[in-house]
Amino acid sequence: MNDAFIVVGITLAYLGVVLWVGIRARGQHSSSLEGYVAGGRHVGVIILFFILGAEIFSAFAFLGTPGWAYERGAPALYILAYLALVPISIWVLGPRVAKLGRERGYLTQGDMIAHHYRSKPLGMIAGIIGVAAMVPYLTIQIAGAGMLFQAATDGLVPLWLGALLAFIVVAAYVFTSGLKGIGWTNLLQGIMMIVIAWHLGISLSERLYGGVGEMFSQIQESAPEYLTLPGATNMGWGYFSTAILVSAFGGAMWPHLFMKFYSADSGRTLRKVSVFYPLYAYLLVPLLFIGFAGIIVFAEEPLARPDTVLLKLVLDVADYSPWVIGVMLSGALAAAMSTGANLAHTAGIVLVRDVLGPTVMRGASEKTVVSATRWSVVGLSLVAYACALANPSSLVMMLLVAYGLIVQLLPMVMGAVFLPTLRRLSVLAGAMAGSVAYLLMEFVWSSPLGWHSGLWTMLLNVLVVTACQRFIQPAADTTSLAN
Amino acid sequence: MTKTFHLLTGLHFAVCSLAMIWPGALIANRIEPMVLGLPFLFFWYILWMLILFAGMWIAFVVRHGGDRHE
Repeated sequence: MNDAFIVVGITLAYLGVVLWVGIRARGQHSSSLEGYVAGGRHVGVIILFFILGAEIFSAFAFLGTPGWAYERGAPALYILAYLALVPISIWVLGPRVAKLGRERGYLTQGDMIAHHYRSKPLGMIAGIIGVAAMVPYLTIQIAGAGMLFQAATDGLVPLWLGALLAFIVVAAYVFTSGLKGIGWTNLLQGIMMIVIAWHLGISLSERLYGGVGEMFSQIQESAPEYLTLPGATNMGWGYFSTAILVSAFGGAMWPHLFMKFYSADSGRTLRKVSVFYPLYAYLLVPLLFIGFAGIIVFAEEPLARPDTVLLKLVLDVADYSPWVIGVMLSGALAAAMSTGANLAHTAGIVLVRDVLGPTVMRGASEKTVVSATRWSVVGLSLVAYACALANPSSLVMMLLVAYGLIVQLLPMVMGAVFLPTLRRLSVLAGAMAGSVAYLLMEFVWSSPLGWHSGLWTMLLNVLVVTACQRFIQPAADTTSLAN
Repeated sequence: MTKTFHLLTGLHFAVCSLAMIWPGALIANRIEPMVLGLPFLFFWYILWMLILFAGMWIAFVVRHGGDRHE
């Protein structure tokens, strides 16, 4: 009982520091919409690195990465591969998107799509897909924070209270400081997560096996199937490879990643961030160690839920002091909250600018829009909190659907950035065909050859776009905006 | 210069991507030899992350080094 109080005390102190740092970041830019949304387009290398990087370290990564390594073994390397490949999208797309944003005042994906294709409804569709995709993602972060609190304090802090604390801290600093607040808190949270992940990864294998090398030698003797593909759950090469490609290249379409391109002070800054991005994947390596450590420990009695492997090892198996557990909980919370802040901020902006802007809030003043955005951040976080309490098991399903839909924006966005001859009708038809096919493959048929259905539907999407470009003659007024 | 640059970065990106999926990773799908205490497949990913970084760093210096503007 006493231990639980130490854990809670450390964690509350940490939450306090995050709140203080976030609110203090309120700078001179925060009164304008551009300042609140894109940090006035003057975010430098270090802060941008942590803003983009914190997206990686979500509650899902912190608990799910060890879970994958524990359950499947080598297929968990997929996480390293796709993270390492994400910077290719940033390198290629980033500078051009940042330039277009600066020149034409874009703040969202919808802005760019609506303007380029001269179609407000198309921008709205992009906005609606974006918000629908981000809310379940945000729900996972908030629910994750609550679960962490509950597990680490032995139930002293129940799920609803833990989730509420994390939600209040995040909403408070996103509300007051916008992107600047996210930047500074993510710098703090990033350092926290790195220290915790490495400390746990190394010390757990040290305590349980006497070192990382020794651990892998023992796994090689007793369960070698975990150390090579297709792993313990027999994941095929086709799925493994296509999942990496879809995550790495489709992932840049997530609004919270894409919109950060606009906030860079130059294309050079974005390129510099992308150069260091593969190194970010190294930070997940110790989390894989933790998962591998669980393979032998729980060989007799497998865990019902693989993503609890980190918590089980730290709390039940390795005998850590409550101080370490308190700091561990803070690090894991940091993962959930930094991603949550990013998502809430982005979802609020997209909702107001792309969906409400062209409809109910037409002609509103900038001041009204800023305040509507702030309240949307709070409102959407509340919705996510409510979903987290209801704890629908369909959440992962929702996220899956969202992912398939968001990836279908790729040809539309590529058209706006690089291919000015693509027409509105073609990209719309492509996106519709791709989305419908994705839903069919996820829920009705199984995906051909066992590949990731995102890849098949992306191919179909591109095929439909090409066919429309080739065979449908443009009417005079539907040509896209010439660059 | 620009054309060669884009060709080389594109090639680098393609090689690194293929090394991490089928068929590149197929040749590394083994436990022995262990490197740095890691199974070979694990080490393979660690290695290619470094190669990707190194190539991008060189591309950055060539393209943007010294130049403070775009």
